[in-house]
Amino acid sequence: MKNRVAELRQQQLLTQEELADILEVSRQTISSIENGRYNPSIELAFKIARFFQTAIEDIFIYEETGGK
Amino acid sequence: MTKKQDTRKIVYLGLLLLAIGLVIVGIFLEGRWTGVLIGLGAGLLGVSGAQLITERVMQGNPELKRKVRVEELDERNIQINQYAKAKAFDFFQFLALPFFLVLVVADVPLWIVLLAIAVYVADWAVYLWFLTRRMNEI
Repeated sequence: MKNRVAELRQQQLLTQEELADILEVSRQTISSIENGRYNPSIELAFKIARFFQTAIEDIFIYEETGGK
Repeated sequence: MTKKQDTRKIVYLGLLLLAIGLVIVGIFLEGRWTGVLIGLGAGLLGVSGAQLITERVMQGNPELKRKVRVEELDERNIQINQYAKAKAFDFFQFLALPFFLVLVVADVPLWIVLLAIAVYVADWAVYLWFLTRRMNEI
């Protein structure tokens, strides 16, 4: 799943470490989310959305894979 | 220090004393129990000692304590840990059957073969118990 976490973080002039501290997760988790290697739980996605004061679907872009 | 930390410290101190006791008894005892007691005591000494040192270091460093807590509760770390444990369980299934075969071929006493099989069955029982419980939970 693609996301805009890195873009929003950079807009707020935050480092991965700082965002991780705010969200109470590890820096590696932020890095993995930004790189699209890890999809956060609904709870963490809500925390991220709430922090950036935007809707989840504006941050995480769901793209259907596979199909008929 | 919170009540939970106090309890943990008391438990580790108790284990440390037990470990020292086991090692001492092991040294003075003769026969096959010497090795068992010293081994058990040394292992317990290592675990409880390490935990007490960790508690001590973290007590004087709240920032380190917070970071360790974040790492422990981090959802990605938990997921990775659970994945690794699940893979280890799968891998154990591959190892178990050849291991039983080796025991039989090596002509070890029957009770050892049965004990090994019982451990294997117990492992599956625990798996099924958690599987059922989790299915009912979520």
